[in-house]
Amino acid sequence: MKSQTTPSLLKSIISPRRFNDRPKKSFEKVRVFAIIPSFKPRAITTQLIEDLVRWNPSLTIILVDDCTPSSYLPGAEIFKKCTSISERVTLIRTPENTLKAGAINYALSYLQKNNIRPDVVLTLDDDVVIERNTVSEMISSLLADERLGAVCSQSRVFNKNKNLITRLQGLEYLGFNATRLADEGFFHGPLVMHGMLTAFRISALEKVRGFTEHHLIEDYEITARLKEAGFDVRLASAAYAWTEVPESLIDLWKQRTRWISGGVSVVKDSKYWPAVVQDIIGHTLFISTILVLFAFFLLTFDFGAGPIPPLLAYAILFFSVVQTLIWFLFQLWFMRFYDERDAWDWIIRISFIPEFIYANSLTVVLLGAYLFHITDSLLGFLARHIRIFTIRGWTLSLFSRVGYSKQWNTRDSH
Amino acid sequence: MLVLAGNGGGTASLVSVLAFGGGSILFSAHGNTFIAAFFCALIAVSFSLTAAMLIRFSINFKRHGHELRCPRVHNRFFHP
Repeated sequence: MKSQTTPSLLKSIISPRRFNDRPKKSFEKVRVFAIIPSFKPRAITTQLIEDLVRWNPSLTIILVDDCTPSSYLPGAEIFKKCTSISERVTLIRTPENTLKAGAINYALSYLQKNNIRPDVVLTLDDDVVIERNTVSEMISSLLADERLGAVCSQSRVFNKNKNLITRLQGLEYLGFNATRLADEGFFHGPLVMHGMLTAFRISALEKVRGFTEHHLIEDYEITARLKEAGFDVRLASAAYAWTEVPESLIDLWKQRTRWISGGVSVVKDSKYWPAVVQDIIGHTLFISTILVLFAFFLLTFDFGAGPIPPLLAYAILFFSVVQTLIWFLFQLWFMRFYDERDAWDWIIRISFIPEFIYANSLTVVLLGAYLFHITDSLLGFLARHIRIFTIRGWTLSLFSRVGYSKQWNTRDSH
Repeated sequence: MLVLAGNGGGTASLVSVLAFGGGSILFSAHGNTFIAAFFCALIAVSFSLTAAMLIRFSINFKRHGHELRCPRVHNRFFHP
């Protein structure tokens, strides 16, 4: 894998690198396995497997029961129904609950033990809805260029009409697709190949030795390691998939604390900055803004205060107003690609306020994540010198109660 | 949100509201010039990142933009 030089990476900020679009092999000639980790499956899992089997005649499916408890009554029946759909569906069960990353690794080692080496591995959530061409588009996109280690589908929301929270997430996910398209060929590509539906080249998965288990955000973590290993990633823009998003504020909070805190962990642990460059820019801008404002207000009423050149004030207002206006107009224009939209979505977008409140509320989650990581690092440092086990445990459990933890411990906790 | 923030767009809303506040205070013509200049530079960087993202988007959009629409979505759950 040819690694990119720093000048070519920097050039990609405004001139994204191009990839081939025509696959060298046809989808039918490629050995593709889909791995679907499942815990307490629902009817939607059966529908997913039916669609995968019906629309992809050469696809083999490994359904991984991640130790669904027997007390969950529909489980056994749904798994039985899934395996009865086709001989191409194999059900395996993990010896203990290993969460998503562990279940995928278990399936990968199952393939290895049985001397099966696919060309491409798809990883899917068990509550995803796909279209007829979703898988074939992803495989074509992945195999078109040897530099690519993974491609992900578009992410859309199928329960977006449920309430205001789901509608806001529907609009947010639309923005994710726009950002992923903009990030194609920018450094090593989009920040995250999402866990909802991603296709991995097997050589790439082997090179990074599979997923890191118990990580809060294993999809971002493995994307960063793929980039570190020299691979690029991109959005397969013609591959459509829908997922279910949290419908209550509590569930949304739990999801976002996990995402954002996990994201900070990935940036903190990454040894290759181009893999997480978007987040480095984002965090630097955000922290700098907060610090500068804090200093500004502090110094205004203290030493160093005096007349400000009017040009500076005008420049600040110009940049902020124009930036907001450009971004808002782009958001309005991009609504044309939101095929699921209805009048309510238009009202939310045009009125600006709900999305503004939503985006800035998530900033609170980010501030909490900073506080958690700083506290954890500080207590970790102190614990090496003095005995503070009780205080450390008590503090971390307090953070855990509001959603911040270092590991994804149980299925039910997040 | 962080994904967007990394490209300047997500931070735009927050930066803007803070800048509106900051700008108003600056108009009152009393403050620390050095900090105000630094603040202005930050917003200019954020502005440039948003612009760079939109340029990249338009370049990639020329190649894949038509694929963003899902023609069959009406047959699924939204308009059954």
